[in-house]
Amino acid sequence: MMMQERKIKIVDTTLRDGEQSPGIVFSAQDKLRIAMALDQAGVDFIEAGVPIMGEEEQEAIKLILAASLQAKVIAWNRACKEDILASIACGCSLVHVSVPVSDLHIRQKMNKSREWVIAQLRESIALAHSFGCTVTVGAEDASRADMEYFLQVAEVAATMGAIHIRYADTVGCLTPFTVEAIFQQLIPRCSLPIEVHMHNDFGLATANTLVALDAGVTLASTTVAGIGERAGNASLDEVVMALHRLYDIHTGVDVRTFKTLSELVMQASQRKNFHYKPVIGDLFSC
Amino acid sequence: MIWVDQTLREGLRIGMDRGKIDSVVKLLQHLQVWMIDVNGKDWHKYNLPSLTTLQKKQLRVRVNETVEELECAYEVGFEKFIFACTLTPGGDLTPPMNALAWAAEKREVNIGLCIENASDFSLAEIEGLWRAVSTMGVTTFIYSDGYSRLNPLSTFKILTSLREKMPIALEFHAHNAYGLATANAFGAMQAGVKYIATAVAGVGVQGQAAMEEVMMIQKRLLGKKNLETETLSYSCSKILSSIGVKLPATKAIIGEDIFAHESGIHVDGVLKNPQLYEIFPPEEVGATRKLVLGKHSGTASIQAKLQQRNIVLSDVDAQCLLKQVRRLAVIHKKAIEDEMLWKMYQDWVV
Repeated sequence: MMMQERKIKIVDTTLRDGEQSPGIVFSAQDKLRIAMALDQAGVDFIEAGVPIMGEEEQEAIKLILAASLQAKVIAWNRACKEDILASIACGCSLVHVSVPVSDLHIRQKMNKSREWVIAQLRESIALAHSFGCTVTVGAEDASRADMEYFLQVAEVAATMGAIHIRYADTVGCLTPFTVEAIFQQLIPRCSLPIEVHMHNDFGLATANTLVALDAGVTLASTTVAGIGERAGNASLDEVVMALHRLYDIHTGVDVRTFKTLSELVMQASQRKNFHYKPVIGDLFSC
Repeated sequence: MIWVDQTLREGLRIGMDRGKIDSVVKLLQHLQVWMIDVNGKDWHKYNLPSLTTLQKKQLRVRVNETVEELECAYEVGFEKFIFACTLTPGGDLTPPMNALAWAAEKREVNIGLCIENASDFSLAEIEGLWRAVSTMGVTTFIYSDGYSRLNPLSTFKILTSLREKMPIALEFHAHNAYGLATANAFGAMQAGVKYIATAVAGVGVQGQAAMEEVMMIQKRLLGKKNLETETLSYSCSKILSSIGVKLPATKAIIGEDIFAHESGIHVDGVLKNPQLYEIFPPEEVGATRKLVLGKHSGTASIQAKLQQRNIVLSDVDAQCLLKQVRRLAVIHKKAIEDEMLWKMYQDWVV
């Protein structure tokens, strides 16, 4: 493997996509403790939650913002006014605006058109900017979308001043080989830095994330112990450990924190860590 | 594709009930898994009588290269053997010649040579090693990534090259220190390797490629659409409980919660078209979909749950009830059962 001097940024979403795993409920205090532990571990961004969900969530996000962490705190939003205003009311200065990009999602879930999605995105970014916020954009179901449309959304986001775009494999259908082919094409043509957000439906989330990073992607979305919707997301612990040990690519994350970090998250999730889980399971000690 | 099971081997290592060995073998057969590895030492630990006909046919024994251990396994009736050896990088790469000579005399046995740390050596070294043993009756060469040094793309390259140069049955054993075992097994499959080691849920000392994952990858991502997988969830959880391992609820493919949806956006989507958030339908692996009420629920969940009791709730009313559901989920730190929602609804109507 070639020596690489670049540094990968980790966007941890344990507190958003992780908590969306059915049955997991983090209290505001849980969220604060986990955010502080993630910050100490050295992740670059913490996706803290979805303010529009309600008062409990807003309280948690306010607590996290008040803790003055090194990591940048992100609030997740749909591309609509009420979501963004809820984030702003919490005092968030970095907001993530998510739009569906596959025709399947645009037509069957939203009953809208590609043009409508882009108009919503423009309005939402403009609204967030009018309050002085920085914006990241999420492309939901990108792996089943027309690549040209993803690029068009990225172009709009870039022109509007967003800082990076998330490519979400929402249903976990990519493989290491398709990932390599996709990002070799996308990276030179995409107007913004790309964050990959991989799901684990076939057990390939970690591998897909690593292959994308190896192909030149610069940001990776992860959750502690891989918790998340359905079979979960790419694991922070696996991705970082493999990057350091197998790819010689560096992150600012301290692998010595993984044991306590995962114990904290498992306890707050009221779940037990699987004995055979790589890196943090009892059988594998870091 | 020939799946080589490593689940029973782990079961014996962790002391599973000996009375359940044959039921695990049968469950594996049901999943079209015909080759099942066990460790010679663990097998002897159980003091079992000679192998049954079923066991003789399905089991393959792993021994280290001592002739004593081999004879021991031969006497209880094993017919398929693997010599597993770890070689020293930079040292003299001598395969287990004594053992091979012993096995070569017993022509009826089936012999695999497994280099546990094959990924520590160059392709040239592996080929040299292969040439040294090719006349000794070895029928299978097992490339094992014992220390998890490979990634899916390097696995693909190495095994593509070995397949071109070694005219022998090639088998790949992935390991899982970094969560890449399934992806690496997939890399080997793409390289044309036909024998792939797997274990249910990836159980094993160094972790294995998860059987249910590679099977569904083959079906869904490599186009083997006619594979029968309707009993996958049931068989896999039964195998795990037989060896004494508890399956995590969110284990990909077979976990009991992987078709549970809670968040508002996902439930709303799944009610419109499950394909929005499911890459394959639950029935395909013999599972069922669940809608869970909790902190992340939206109005669609509340409306759908009450619809089941023939109650049509307006968006405004659903929003009202939703607030209570979310608050309660946060207080109790868990999902809200359907009965609880019903009670809340009745209190609220009054």
